[in-house]
Amino acid sequence: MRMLARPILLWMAVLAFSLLVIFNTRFTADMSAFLPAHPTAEQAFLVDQLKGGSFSRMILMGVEGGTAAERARLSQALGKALRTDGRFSMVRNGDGAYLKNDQALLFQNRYLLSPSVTPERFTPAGLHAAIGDSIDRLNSPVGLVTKNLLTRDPTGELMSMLRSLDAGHAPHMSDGAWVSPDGQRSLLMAQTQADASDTDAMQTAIDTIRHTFDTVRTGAGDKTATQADRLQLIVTGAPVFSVESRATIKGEVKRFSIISSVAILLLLLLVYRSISMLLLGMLPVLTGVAVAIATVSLGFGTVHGITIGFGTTLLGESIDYSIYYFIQTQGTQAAVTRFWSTIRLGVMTSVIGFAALLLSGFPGLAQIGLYSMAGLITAAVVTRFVLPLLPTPTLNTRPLRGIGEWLQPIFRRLPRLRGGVILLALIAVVVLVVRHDTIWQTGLSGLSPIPEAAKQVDEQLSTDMGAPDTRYFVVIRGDSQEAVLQQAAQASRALQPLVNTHVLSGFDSPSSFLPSQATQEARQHALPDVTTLKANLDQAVQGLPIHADKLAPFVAAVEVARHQPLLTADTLKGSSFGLALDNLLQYRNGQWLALMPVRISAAKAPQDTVGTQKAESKIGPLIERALAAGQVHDALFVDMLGASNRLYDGYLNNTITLSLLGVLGIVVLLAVTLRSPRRLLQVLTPLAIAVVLVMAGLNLLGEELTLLHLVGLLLIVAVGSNYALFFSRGQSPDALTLASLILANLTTVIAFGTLAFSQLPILQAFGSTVAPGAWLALLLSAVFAAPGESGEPGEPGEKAAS
Amino acid sequence: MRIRWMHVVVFLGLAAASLSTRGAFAAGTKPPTVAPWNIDRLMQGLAAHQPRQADYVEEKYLGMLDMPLISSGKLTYRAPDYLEKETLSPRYVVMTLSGETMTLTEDHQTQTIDLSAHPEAEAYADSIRGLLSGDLALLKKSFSLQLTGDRAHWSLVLRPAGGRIGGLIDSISVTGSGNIMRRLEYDQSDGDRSIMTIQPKARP
Repeated sequence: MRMLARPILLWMAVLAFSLLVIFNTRFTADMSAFLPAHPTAEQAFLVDQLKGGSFSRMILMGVEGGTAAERARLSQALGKALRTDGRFSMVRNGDGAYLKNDQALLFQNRYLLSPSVTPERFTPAGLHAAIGDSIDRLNSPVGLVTKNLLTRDPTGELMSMLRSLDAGHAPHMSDGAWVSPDGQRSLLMAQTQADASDTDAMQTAIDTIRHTFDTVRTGAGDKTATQADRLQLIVTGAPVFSVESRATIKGEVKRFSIISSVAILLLLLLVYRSISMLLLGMLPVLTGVAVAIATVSLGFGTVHGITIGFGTTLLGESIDYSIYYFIQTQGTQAAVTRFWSTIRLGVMTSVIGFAALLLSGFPGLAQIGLYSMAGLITAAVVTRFVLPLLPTPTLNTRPLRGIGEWLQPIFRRLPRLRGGVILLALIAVVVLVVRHDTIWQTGLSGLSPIPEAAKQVDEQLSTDMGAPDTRYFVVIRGDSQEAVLQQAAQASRALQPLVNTHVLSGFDSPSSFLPSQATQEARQHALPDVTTLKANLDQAVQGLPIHADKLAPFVAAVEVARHQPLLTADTLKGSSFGLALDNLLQYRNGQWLALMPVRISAAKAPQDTVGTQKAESKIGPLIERALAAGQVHDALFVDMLGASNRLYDGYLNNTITLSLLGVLGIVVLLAVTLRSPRRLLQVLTPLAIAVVLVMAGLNLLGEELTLLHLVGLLLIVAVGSNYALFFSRGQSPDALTLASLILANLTTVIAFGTLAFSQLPILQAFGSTVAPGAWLALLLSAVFAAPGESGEPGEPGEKAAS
Repeated sequence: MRIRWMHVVVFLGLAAASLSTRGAFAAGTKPPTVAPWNIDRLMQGLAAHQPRQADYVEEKYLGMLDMPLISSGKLTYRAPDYLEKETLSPRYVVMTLSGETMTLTEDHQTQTIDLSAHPEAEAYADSIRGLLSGDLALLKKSFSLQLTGDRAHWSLVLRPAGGRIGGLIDSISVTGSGNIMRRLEYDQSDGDRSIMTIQPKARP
């Protein structure tokens, strides 16, 4: 007895340890787990920006409802409260303090910032042209502004800076707060301190925003509750997406696990007619899931939501083991031995299939591989060594045998369909060959758990902000801030011709917000001393309607600028320039990065995927050539969308290769074990046809296959191999075996079938692939079963315990 | 980069344009024969006529310059609240006012400015809307009004009743005859002034 109890003690210890690990596991849902572990430079930039770039730490907020004044007041109160909260590195809502600060900063440093400051500009001829132009501009309605500046800034440096900074980007203002162009929404923007990959911190930041909003709304004075209720807060942005998709994945996984579990449990209860047997049957499954999660947690540090989603699906295969065990081991010892040899082969087949995924360069996929292997092996081991030790009530097999006997003649006639099935498979192959362009989905969007409506809100708010998603970047890398700023300035000069020829509609550069120290020094050196400037001015105003002595404030300002301290990142902190710089000049992983968002002319912007590829293939080389001609070193042109699409395609190709490798492994294993080409063919044919029919079917239904479909296809092979092995044992299965196979199949179809109704693309992909696939695999295994021999009736009565 | 004072002063130019436009647009119609002549009659007359297009010449006298600046262009009005000032010489600039939104296009760049963001600018907006619609009450909110002369040669002076607007301008003087505004003088607090002469286009 003590010897017998040992496996039970071991099992309990493993289970307890697994649960302990699970309680300490961090669950993530960010897509970076599905990014490659060894990326290219472009992918590294993409991944890094997704994980911690300033864009992915940006939360956008909108206040709706109420009156414009109420919205503005609330925006200001919210902004003020969030600014004092340590979780945000920056909160902007058009606050007036920033505006004043910006104006002063811009004006005081105009001779360091303005790109027009060159030695030529301060020669008599240069001054004459610049002052003449400024006077001409006084005629414009804006002239009445520049009038007040003319004596201090007669060369128009302020206006020249404003023009180069592309003023159209800032949001609209109303009542001292940012608003959408239609004025119906106040806008705020906050950047979190924490890295975007820290989903828990993002969650706290978003909760803080919501709570603060509720507090300032209720505390907003004399408004009645109903009025206050009309004011609503919208929160969006990358951090919100990562938090919400984690919650959605968790919620959906939970919901569908419960639905399918209940359905399966009811079905099993109907068959077993014994609660204790039902509970025993669940042991291998639950242990498998627990050990699988714990293994992934120990192996990877975190567990991805998609991996957990896979847990439900694992239920489908591992519950089969206990079903087979309870039903089929009712027979003789010989039958039991034969049963285990079949199951062992089935488990090994599945494990080899999933082992291929372990080799994947993508942590997310490797997680799924490890999860499945650990789960299936555990479930099988628990069924084999733990279940027999537990007191199992005797199963009344009569009703099952009845079902099996009723179905046997039907299944025996199935091989007659062989010709038709082969023809159907050939048609499916033709369909897939003809429509091979439409089989796979390109891009990551198919995997995204973010609902379309949320995406639209985000797009709307970004557009309102005047900051639509930036897709193209020139990225400059260097050892020091000074080096990347110099290179960025060089790149700006190299790219300017593309703007002039309308290839690009514009670009931003950190060097326009913070010129390199060298540039600033050069500009200072371009400014003449008082004597020279006065002499030059006297000549310059010849023919202009202004006297040189009216420009004394200008002479004084230039003298101050010649000796003023150079601008640094610290000087800019807290201003709009500081914000822009935060985004465009980053220190990441021991390297300085200058980001230059590049905007392609609307006329040339791609409208569709094909257009995208065309434009991309054109724009990329154009920019790279311009950069090379401008002697810009260490510059990288990144198309964020293109990069993520290529990343996904690489991922898909990698997975296809690995899946084929897995299938190859399965074939080798079966060939070695079965030692019979005929049986090998008998096992493989139904599986291959099931996969082909599912692929063709989904394709004809207009569903584009994603990675998760692919993993689902692998699962068809894994689950289906059990059926095929039972049907290839040289005789068609006896009534009980047939009944157990059908029951196992039914649970699998239920588990996956419910998933097919999930709103989450990842779960839906599994469901729509595996449910029909598993059913087809069983049916086709019967179609291709060994012909002629009739099934032995199983020996009744004896309980098969070892 | 939004510069507040810029918008305000931009708006001054707009105010000038709009006020003058209103007169120009009324050109070509016969004055009503009803008596007596007072500010209510003038407002009614201005309100009763749908303005359209006019050419303008603007002279700006700035203290710092030895000579006046001269520019010219076109004005276009569409009821109820669209106004465009297109400067053709010496530099091309287009300014539009539509509802609460103002745009300024210069050097191929367009800026959009929300008027409600600037209370002082809003006062001017009220004055324009007041004149265009003949809404005396609206005008009186920000300005005190003084009408002199007779129907054939009248002069209306608007003086800021207070607020931030008072720190920027002393007065706006509109002169005209009948329902026609001919000339608009705009005296700034700093002594600079601008004079806009309006030449209405013949009705098609």
